[in-house]
Amino acid sequence: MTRFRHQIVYSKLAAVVGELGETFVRLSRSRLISERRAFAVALLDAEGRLAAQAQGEPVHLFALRATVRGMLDDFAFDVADGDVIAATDPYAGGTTGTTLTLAAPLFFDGELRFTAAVRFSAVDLGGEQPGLLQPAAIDLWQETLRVTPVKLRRAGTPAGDVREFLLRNSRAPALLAADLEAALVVHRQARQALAALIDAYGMTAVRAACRDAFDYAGRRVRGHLAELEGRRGTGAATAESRLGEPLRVEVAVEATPERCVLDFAGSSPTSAASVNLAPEATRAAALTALLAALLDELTPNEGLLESVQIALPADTLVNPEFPAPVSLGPMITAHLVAAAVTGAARSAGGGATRFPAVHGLEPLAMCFEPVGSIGSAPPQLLDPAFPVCAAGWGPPALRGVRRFVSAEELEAERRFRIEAREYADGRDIRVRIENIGEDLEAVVHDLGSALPGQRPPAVTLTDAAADAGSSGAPVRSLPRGAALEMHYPAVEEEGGG
Amino acid sequence: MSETWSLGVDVGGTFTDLVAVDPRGGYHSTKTPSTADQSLGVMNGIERIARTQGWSLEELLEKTGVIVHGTTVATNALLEYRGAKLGLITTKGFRDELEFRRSYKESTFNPRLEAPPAICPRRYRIGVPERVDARGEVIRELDESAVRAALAFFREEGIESVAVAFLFSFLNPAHERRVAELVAEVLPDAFLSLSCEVLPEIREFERVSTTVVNAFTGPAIRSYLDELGQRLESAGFGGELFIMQSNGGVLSAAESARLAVGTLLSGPAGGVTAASFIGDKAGYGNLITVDMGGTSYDISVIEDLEPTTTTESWIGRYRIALPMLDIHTIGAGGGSIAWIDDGGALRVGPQSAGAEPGPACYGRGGARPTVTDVNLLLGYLDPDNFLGGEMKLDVEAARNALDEHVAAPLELDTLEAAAAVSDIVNNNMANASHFVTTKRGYDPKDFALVAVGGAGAVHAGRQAELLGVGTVIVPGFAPVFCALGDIVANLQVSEARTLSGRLDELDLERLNEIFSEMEKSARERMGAQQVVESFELRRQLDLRYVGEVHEVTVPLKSRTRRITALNLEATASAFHELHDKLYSHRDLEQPIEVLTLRLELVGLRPAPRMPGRDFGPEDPAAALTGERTVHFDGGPRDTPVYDGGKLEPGNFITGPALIEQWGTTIVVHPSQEALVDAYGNVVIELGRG
Repeated sequence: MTRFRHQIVYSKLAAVVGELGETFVRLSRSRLISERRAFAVALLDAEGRLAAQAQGEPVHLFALRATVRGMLDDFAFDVADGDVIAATDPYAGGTTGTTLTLAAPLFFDGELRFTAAVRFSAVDLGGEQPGLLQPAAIDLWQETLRVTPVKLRRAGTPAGDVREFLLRNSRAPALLAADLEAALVVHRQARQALAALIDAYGMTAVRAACRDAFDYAGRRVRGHLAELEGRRGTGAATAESRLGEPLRVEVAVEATPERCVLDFAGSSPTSAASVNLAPEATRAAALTALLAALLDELTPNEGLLESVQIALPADTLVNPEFPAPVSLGPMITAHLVAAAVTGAARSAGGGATRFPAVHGLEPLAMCFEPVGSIGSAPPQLLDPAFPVCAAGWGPPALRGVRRFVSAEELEAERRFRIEAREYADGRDIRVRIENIGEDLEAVVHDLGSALPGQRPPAVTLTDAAADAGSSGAPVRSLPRGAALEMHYPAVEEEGGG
Repeated sequence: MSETWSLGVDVGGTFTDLVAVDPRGGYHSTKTPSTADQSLGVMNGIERIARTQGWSLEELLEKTGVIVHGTTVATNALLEYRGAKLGLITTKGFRDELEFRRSYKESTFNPRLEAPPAICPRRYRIGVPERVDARGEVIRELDESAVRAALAFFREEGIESVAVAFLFSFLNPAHERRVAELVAEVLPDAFLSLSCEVLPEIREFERVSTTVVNAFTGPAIRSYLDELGQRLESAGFGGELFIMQSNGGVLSAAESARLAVGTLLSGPAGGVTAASFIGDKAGYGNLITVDMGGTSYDISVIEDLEPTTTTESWIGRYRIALPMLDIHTIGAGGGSIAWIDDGGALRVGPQSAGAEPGPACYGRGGARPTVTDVNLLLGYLDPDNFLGGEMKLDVEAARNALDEHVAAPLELDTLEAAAAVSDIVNNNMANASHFVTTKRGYDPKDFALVAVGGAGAVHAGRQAELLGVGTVIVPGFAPVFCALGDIVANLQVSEARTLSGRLDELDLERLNEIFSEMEKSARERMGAQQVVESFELRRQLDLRYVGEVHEVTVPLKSRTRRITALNLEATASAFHELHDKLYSHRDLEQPIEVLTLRLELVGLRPAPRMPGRDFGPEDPAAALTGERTVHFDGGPRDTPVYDGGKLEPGNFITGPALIEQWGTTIVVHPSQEALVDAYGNVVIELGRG
């Protein structure tokens, strides 16, 4: 009967993590979290294994664990109860430079037993242009501040200097301060909830429950991948890029009864542009594509991550060489990775129901007050619709649980007016947005290229909009009265390859 | 005190329940099978009550002043997607908002999840040129010829119901009103649903979805209420017919026919209202209500006797943004099936055996083990006394189903398998209740559990332990609980208007003007005010920090009708405080913006008396019917069984014990104690640690 007791104990642990995620969304102040759900929360065990994770976007699947392991390694002999460690480094488990991870080692009976971690996208953290998109960056430092693990709290005492340093490097310090505070509340809640769980069931049972849950996840994954057993398949996804050379992701999948291996040999080399995808984000996109049909049922944990081996050749688009820029990777290359993996699984004999296409590129626009001014409003990401997924309804899975903005709410802020948002040309969605506020500048992103099953998304500046600088400059002027047209092409069911 | 009878009637899937209060405050109740035409079941039930008094139906109805009715007509129309054929007229460029759902999907990854059935297919969603801006100013005139063309198309297509939702119509409804005039001209018989009337609030998807659901369900409830009204009238009823609303209040039948979407939770709302009433009587203000039936487990939270509400509801996969009681549902009930998944884990639900074939022990061909089968095997249920002995349960069938599908594959004996299934379903329910409570910032330990529904009292004692709750209340009226709620509910009208702007720059004249209009509208909508003893007016503002997303509904700090600048300052202070409580931060420097004005007009009906009975002896021996072996967590125990119908106020029972009532069994676990209170409620106390 112990196994059922473990099943129950683990379900409680998973419920705790779910509640931590709810708390973070409730307490955070930026729209990137409350609407875009650019966050994940997790508990890791004493060995740095992922006990359970709740997430708004799938891109954090491996990355959160890798970041926390890196933090604990860095502070190997200097970790105390009450510490909070922060980091943003894409080359140490991060996804992009603006993705902050805050981890709190949790001690019970004097020993480090768990770590509670919160990861979220800051509205702005350094970088050449305001906001998240840095298409012109040629290295990491132009994209963001590179925060290697630092302590925001030492044994419970706030490190005001570190906090102040982070805030002063953001163009939206009030929002960042509030989101940091929300993460600290989540840590406190995690400590209380875990203490109650350990009190009720004992540490031994909680640890054993996690082990059983990892085994269980492994069994579910092996069952899911049985269709591919003894087979080999390959997939590829290629895209032209306005930012430089064509991007290509290649992957081979090979499954044995014990293990499934994904090998990304053959993918493009590290790009000079910011389309590179940090390795942990590559793993997350690949696993999401391979296991999508399971992910609504399973709590992401170590068993899930360990069940697939992912080989990422060095100095490639999917495992770039430091200090290559990465800010657009999750928005572009992650979709290539997912499309290629879906294609590989299908070429190995996997069916569309078990291996649905999860990708779907979308256009984006980051708008802000003219560069160099001290803005009164934080940079605003416009992503007012979604590409319809290959299943023919709703957004693609790789988008996570993001919501789009209400046209009326957006207009009520007196900055933008959505003039139309409708299906056009079948299942494609077109949105037209006018700037009705002050003169702005914008960084727009569209790949200008097709993906497997998807025509290229596009952002067009119309009417009064004019290039601010030379042709192809990353920052475009968006004066009052100018409009953006965003085109979200639907993904057709073709798989990858 | 009222000189007439009052009736509460709740129509459920299987039974129609009635509670009647006579002029002396005496309570009478009955159950009768529900009928396809719900009004027939209602009339049958009333007739049953009449017969208990030796009267005819007509004689009782002549003496009846008020009937309050909880109906599932609108709910069924939506859940079965069998509503009206409807067309939507909306702002050109926005006809797909209903389908986009702001990109929400119930299941992010599931590739098999299909789109919800289209209650308004795209060809019947027509955008017409017009535009009002965020200030309420017309920036594009309504193209009436386009409206006429759309309506002509609707007429050709046999459209029965028209929804109209234009952008910013909550600020300036002129275009929607003009379309209403044109509809009256072109499609005079069509049901009309205007977004400026259904939900005059900001956010187009939420508004259009609520308005469309109203148009979809409206004709069904209108014709149902016409039918019921005629039946009652022809049987001599001259009083007021009210319909239970999703917000826990009641409204006249005429108003309910106009705002059908407000009745979607008409049934369960009665249960929550009744829980609040019972909590008041039993002396508990903070309650978690759990209603466990055959297929689902509904949870709601009541704080200080006020049921919590939400504007975030999804029903039948459509978004309803009207304020409704916050009832959270998971797929766990007596019929939930136990199964083993691909990874070898034991799972319970959400798939249910329902009523047909039902659990294996019903002997109707069900071969999969369910929670009810497990409760039978553990000894909680008596195979010879289910539903008061009206139905025999087949123990062998339950055992075979559990052995084949759970025990044998997991290499367990039958009782171990049954205990495991019971543990898992209790745990699932406790996790869900914990989530619902903590997401509002509450601690379940500060609440009492009210258990209703056929299976609620079987599981409540164990769930209370898992949640750390100290008290379980099983209401004496449990079998007709929702009908009790119907009879005690007050009249209630909720009004909302959007008024965007900074709080410190608000035009006070305009604010007062809008609140006056809202109050006037609320009083008109309430109707039938002769049954009201007094009124309560509640005014609230939805506020948030400029540029942020978290809204807080703050009561307006004003004792007078007129709102002054000082009142707004006090409201701002209350906002900072509430924001801090909910979101752990306040920012006194940050400007505050207003989004929505809310007004609730409550018409307080004379509270039905429920006189408590004097306590008798503690010893419950008079109700003891026997003893049987029950398999609790700690092993098998010889357990006394009591007939709930024979228990008297003051009876005190030490666990382990079973109390059998018609329709449910109350399980009192070892180390728990049960007391029958003055109102017939069984109150179970748990040891704290």
